[in-house]
Amino acid sequence: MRSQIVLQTGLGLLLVVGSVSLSMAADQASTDKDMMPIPKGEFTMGSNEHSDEAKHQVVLDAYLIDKYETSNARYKEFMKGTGHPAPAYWDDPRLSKANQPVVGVSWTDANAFCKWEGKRLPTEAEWERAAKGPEGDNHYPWGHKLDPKKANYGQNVGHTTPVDSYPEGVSGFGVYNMAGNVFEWVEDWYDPKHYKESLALNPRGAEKGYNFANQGQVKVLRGGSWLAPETSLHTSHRFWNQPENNSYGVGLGFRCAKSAPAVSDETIQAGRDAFIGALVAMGAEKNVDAMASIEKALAADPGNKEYLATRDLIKKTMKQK
Amino acid sequence: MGAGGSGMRPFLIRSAREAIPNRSSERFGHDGGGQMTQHSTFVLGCIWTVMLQGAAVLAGPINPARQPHSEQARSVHVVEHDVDDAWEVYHRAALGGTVASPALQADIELHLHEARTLVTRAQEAAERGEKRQVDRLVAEIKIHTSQAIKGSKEQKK
Repeated sequence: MRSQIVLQTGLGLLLVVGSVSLSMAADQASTDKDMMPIPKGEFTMGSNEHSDEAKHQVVLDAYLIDKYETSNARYKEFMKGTGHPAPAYWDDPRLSKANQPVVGVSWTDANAFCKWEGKRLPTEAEWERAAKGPEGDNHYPWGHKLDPKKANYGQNVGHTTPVDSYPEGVSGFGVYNMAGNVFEWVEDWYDPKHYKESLALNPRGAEKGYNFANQGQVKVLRGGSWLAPETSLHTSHRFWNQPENNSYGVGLGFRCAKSAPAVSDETIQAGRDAFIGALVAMGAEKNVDAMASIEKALAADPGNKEYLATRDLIKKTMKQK
Repeated sequence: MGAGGSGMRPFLIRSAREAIPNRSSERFGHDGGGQMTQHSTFVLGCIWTVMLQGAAVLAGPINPARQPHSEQARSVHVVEHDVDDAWEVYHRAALGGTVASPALQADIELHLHEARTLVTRAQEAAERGEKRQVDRLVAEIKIHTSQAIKGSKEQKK
């Protein structure tokens, strides 16, 4: 009898623990849904365009970034869940559709939202790498040539467009509207001279922001907006605003990011083994096996360029046969 | 004077219009019309005409001879528009993220705020009829607005 009670209690506890961890995993999956993984890697931050964006090499750990700018629908959930006040332009019919990006937000609003979603604002370096893509030095998210069909800028449309608009203008990492639609707040303070002394590994911006006209320090804005001309559109363009200031907020929104969970050495090794398995299978012309192995390798290391190229090669070979 | 003068006209017309219907509704309200005599109609007609003429005279165009400082007021009015335009140019640059640097942005804002302050002083001087003071202030405002516009249009280097 006693052992039966102990057994039942144990089973009950297991069920509770199981369901809690399952729901946590589901939550995790829903927060990470619509986030793009950006692998650990190096890229050229900055450009030759302006003096405050001097070129320099940066290495970033893996992270995830929102595929889309934060929409009015998501922001509404946040307001409902926290009682956070509505931002400016919330009732403006040109800008207030559910799938349009939220605008009129201060840095503080954006920061609070990302925390509420279990994320954070991207650093300026993270934002730029996500915009420049795996090639690492695109002038615009889609390449080097300006194309009005690939972004909402310069009053061409006259309002913000849905966060999933301009699919042909996505960055090499599949991130939408990194040029135009809305300027985006990032984590860093703005200092025009900071790039000259910036850290190469996971930089987090200047310690203090430039304090212009004694109105307070300024944070960095990225990405241009529906109102901004083409000169503000390139992937390294920097602008600034006080964190509490949303007076130019009609084209000002944000997206969130989060650090990727650390990958263990065992997982990396398993990925490597699967990659070698894929090469062996390719040599034996067993393309289905090769594809299964390379998918396994990519599951362990999603952004690995070598694995991605190998998968493309296998796909091509399979098509030819 | 420009701004004040244009503000006066609608006010007077409105007063006259409001005054007349109120009185007529008191007299001729729902059942009053049938009790009126021809004589009273004539008298009211006269009053009506006189009042309308009075309103027309008061609401007429500003007579420069009766507005001794109108020229100064007009020049302040023009420069006030220039200041608004300069703010507009700056707003466009700030919205578009094209301001060349935060230091320049501070400078532009300083020029614009200074211009606004001087406009108020110029308006006061115009009201007092101080032509030389108005001319001096208008010239100063023009410098500030042109500096603000030049700064707003400067390209990021």
